[in-house]
Amino acid sequence: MWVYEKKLLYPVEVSTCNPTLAKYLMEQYGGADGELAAALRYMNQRYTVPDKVIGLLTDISTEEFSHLEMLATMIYKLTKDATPEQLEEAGLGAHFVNHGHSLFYANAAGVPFTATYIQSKGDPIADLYEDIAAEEKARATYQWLIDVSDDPAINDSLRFLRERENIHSLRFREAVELLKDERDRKKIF
Amino acid sequence: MDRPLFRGNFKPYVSPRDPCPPILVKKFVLPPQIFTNFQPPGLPQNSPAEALKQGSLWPAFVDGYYREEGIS
Amino acid sequence: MSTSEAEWVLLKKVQQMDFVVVELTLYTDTHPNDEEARKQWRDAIKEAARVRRQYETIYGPLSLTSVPSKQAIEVGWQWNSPPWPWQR
Repeated sequence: MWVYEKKLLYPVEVSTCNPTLAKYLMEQYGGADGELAAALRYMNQRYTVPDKVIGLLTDISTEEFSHLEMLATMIYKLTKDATPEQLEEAGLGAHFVNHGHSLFYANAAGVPFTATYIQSKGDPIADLYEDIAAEEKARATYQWLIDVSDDPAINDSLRFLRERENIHSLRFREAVELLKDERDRKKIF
Repeated sequence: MDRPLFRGNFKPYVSPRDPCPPILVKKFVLPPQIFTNFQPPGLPQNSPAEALKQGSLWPAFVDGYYREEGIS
Repeated sequence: MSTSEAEWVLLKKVQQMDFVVVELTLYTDTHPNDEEARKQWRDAIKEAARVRRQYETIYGPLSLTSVPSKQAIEVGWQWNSPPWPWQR
């Protein structure tokens, strides 16, 4: 089970009302390499990986949910008091007519989230390599988000999130090394 | 953080028929973690305040990212 | 410093201490035999709990696993009261 913590992982701050930036941030909210995809991917893979890496997948997945909440906070604050006209100008007109001011799991282009963004092969190496790739793709996405954002407060949070991808990538690479240690342990002659 | 350690570059082919003014050198990221398969024990650590700010307890894996670098 | 600013500062302290625990948990997940790190991890959990108690005594529980302090109840703290994390 999970217990909710009434606080963010990182103190998110937002400088200006900027629905255009909110639209871009949706890539990491409901996009292919976003936080929802990451959280669901690891949480699902953990049931069938070797015991020594279950803890890691569980803990990283849980952290990804806290990243998802950070993204939600940024998107919420960037659009909270925006008028329908402002949302339209920001390219969120179609989003507004469908969802009003609410958030939705869609990418920056408005394409709704789909489970086909994630994989589970039941092969520990295939799964961990997918996870490493996912972290590096998320890192790259954060780079491009920082490139299009001129909100210093948002960029502060984005840099934090980008750095987390570095660490998660490292841990998954270590998980691969831990599995390589299992080689030939049960050799029977 | 010694950011240049974690960046690479290449010179793409430039055609006289390219429509945009060519960027002669393209930069890309080589993040710190790809140079280590396994974090060695006892690496220097950030203070808790600095760790949250940088996004990691270990400065060795922090490379930062700024649009002013002109990577994309 | 206004109350909400003081609260923001103390909450940030909780976030800092909790983050150290997050980092050391992931590290010990892949380094189960690093005794020094495991000790630091246990100490970090204690320190995070101490700072959390400090915050929760004044402003009320951050999770349903904490016992509400008398002080928090007296100022009318309820789990359901704003601000929620994204509203701050």
